[in-house]
Amino acid sequence: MKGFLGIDVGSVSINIVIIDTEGEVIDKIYLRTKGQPIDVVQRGMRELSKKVPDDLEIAGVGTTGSGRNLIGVVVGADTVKNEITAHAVASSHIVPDVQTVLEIGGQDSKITILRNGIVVDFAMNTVCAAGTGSFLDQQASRLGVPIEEFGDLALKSENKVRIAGRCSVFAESDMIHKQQMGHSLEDIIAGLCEALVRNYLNNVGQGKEILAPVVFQGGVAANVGIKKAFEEALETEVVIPTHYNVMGAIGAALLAKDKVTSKEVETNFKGWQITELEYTPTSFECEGCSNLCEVIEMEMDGELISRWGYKCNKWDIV
Amino acid sequence: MSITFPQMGCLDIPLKSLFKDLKIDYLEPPPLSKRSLNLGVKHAPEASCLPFKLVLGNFIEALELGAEGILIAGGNGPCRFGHFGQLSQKILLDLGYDFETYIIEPSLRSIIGIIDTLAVDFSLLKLLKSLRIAWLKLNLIEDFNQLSLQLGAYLSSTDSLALKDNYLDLISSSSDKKELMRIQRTFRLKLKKLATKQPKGSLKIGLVGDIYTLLEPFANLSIAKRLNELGVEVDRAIYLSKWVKANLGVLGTINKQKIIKAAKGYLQAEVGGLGLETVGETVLYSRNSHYDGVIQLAPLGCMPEIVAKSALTQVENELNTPVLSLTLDEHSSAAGLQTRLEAFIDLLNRKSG
Repeated sequence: MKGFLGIDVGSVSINIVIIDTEGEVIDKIYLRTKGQPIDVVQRGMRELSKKVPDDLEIAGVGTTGSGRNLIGVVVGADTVKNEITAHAVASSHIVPDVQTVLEIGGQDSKITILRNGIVVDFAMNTVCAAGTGSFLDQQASRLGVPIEEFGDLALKSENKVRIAGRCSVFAESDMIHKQQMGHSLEDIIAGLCEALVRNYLNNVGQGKEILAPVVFQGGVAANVGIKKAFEEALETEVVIPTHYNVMGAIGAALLAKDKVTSKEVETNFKGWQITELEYTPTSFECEGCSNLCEVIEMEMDGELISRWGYKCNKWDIV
Repeated sequence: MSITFPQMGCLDIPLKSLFKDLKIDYLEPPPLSKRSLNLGVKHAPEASCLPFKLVLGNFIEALELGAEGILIAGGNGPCRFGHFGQLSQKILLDLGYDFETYIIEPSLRSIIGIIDTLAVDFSLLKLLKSLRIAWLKLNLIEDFNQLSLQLGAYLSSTDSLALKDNYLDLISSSSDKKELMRIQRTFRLKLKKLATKQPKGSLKIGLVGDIYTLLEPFANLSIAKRLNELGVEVDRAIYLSKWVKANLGVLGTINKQKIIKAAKGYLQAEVGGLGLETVGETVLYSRNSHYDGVIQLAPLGCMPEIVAKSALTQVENELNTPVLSLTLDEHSSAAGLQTRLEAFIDLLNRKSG
């Protein structure tokens, strides 16, 4: 049996999926990055390798997310693709007539507009991370509510309060103020969900034609409070795919499948044994000019395999 | 007294040529770096734009090296840029630096007055002669830049960078019109020879937006080079020489009319900075079937570009050309920029393919 591996290396989580030749998910794993992408990917793959059927042969690997190049080198990826494209590919595979994809992840949020299965427009938060998963995480722990229950609490609200959602720092002080005034936790959380959606639509969604079907994915899609706030604001049903939190990885796997199948090439996958190899990244500051670039080197079992982080060509590996 | 100026793209070469010919003592500021940015961010108002922070930081670096005067263009407020000189002066004086400030802005008499003060022996004839050579150098450098952006998709960046450095050195050191023209011809040929693959079927993107952000690779995280490396032909709508031509004299008015006409229906008035140019140039790119998309560059908080951006949404819808608006700031990460560029190129490829 053939399978395709997709790895999404995000700022907050690392997601790995295996899909079959039909694009159906065979297995998936969702782990926290914790600033150690290589270790976490190795750990995730070790766990997956124990669960997969013995006759499964990995015929292609794709990586995406902000660590796509790093992990691409480690696993021997066939495709290394940006997460905007990967997410769009996955949503149109699962909901073929999708016209709008809302995606909120750990530190970024984006909107992708598709028409007839083709991406025609997208936007991504540029200089502000207000309203992304990290902020929700932080607020949930400040309020002493497990993040998993955050959205359910919002649904219990009967009289949501208005929270200023423009900036996460001010949103936080506004929430504290509303708590001091004596508003209930449910009402405040519902107000926050609404504020984040308002901010998202004004900021990332500005000037975009949002048409149904609308798909909502990314880690934050687990939050039913945000889903409901989106449905109210957009006055349409919002679809959350079953594998909403690993859509980037599914997209990466689909892209690898397409490439390997259409070009009829062998995969570059280095095999499950990469979980046993030792990858050592090291960094140094280049003092060649005033840019003081942070150069990162990657060694595999003592052998230099890649280098990046510099602006000129000085450190190219020939 | 040695005067200094802020770095912006390749402006240093024509400026130095002018100073040398007029025997004006100058001190070249270091190229923009993280240090210039950090100094600028530390001392500039928080809400000021990235270009101002870089200009200020660069001035501080030059003053540390011993510059005794600062020289910058001003104007009647095309945008905040019109006040960069005065604002820098105030901040630098507060920081305790001792220097003179020279702001080049109309009237013509005041400009000539400043040059007369700085030049050792001044005559109008000499000024005209040196200006002509400096102007020629600016044009030759920008012409070469334009060609390398166009061919960049088919070049190895190591080879073309070496060639460009060589070209800039030669242009800097010569001051003879005939020789300069000869250097240009030779190097254009050399560059074309370096282009290994035949230009065919690759994407073509137009770059529009704020002039400083477009001109200075440090401010735009070398966006043109990134696009070239992704196999895209690039055309920049704004060059300093082109901008000067469009804003001076009769010929200028004619050039500008084209932009104003193109922007009509989307933006009717000057909104400061290059807002009107951004809209007009985007329309021109959209009407030109050779172009697949447009990228707008703006520093965070740039009012003219914000106004232009809202007009661009309509241009995008009516003329069916994808436009990507990018906001740049000290916090911009190169990884984030790269992701957006790659996704935009995927979008254009799928649309055209």
